[in-house]
Amino acid sequence: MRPAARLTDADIAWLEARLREAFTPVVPRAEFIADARQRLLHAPARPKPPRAFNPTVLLAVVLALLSLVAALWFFRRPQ
Amino acid sequence: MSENESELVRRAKTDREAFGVLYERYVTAIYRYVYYRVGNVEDAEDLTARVFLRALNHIHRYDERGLPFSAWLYRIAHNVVVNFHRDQRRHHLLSLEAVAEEPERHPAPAQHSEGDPEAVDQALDAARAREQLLRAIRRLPEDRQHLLVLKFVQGLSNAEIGMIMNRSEGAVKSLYHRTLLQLRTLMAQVEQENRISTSKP
Repeated sequence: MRPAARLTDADIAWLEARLREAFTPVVPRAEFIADARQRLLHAPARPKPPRAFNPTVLLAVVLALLSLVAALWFFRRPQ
Repeated sequence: MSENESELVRRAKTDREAFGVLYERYVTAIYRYVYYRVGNVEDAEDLTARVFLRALNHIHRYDERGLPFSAWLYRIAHNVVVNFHRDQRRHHLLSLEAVAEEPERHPAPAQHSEGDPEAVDQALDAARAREQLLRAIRRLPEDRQHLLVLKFVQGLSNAEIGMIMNRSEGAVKSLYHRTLLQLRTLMAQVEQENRISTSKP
């Protein structure tokens, strides 16, 4: 097949037919489905991170502190 | 998302049995996606289980507005597969090439060739062509493989793929066209390599 810069409708139809043939539908094993379901249903609940470590909250706190420092520095009394 | 599914997802945030129902609804689709991205049954099973475990652990963050639950699952599956490939690259494992070399586990449909030598030849040619095509697909960039699997294994529309890939429908259409173009070039390369390797003494 020669590589060309563009595809005709016939090229697309041919490629799509080949792809449909290649990707045959596959089905997982029944044992796998059942085992994985059991493992999922009995998986230990993952604890949510404590609120103090919420990155958004931490970022907000850091920004607030920086703003306070900047404001104090800006409005400082001249010596 | 249907109202029924909406309710199911809402319940699944606190109820494992409801999550189990979602699992049963999507496990085959996610397995198919993962299988064609990693190329063998063992890894496909392992990664499919990982996808659902990750979904279970993060379902409290899922917000259905604008993104169907299935699209959210495919995004998780894509991330799991990308991480897997990054780890596997060190070991030089090739996923879709592995699919081509694993015909006995998930064979292509039977060609009814028993007893007919011509039909046997045709079946062998078809298997060889499939192997070459999968090898060519494997050489595509990750996002293009992702697109082809969603389109041909999952049968999703460009709009649905756009939701999963976070692109507009037009962008998906354009990427698809570029993918087919590149695939044709890669198929020619693979065919040529095959011809050279079979003609060597």
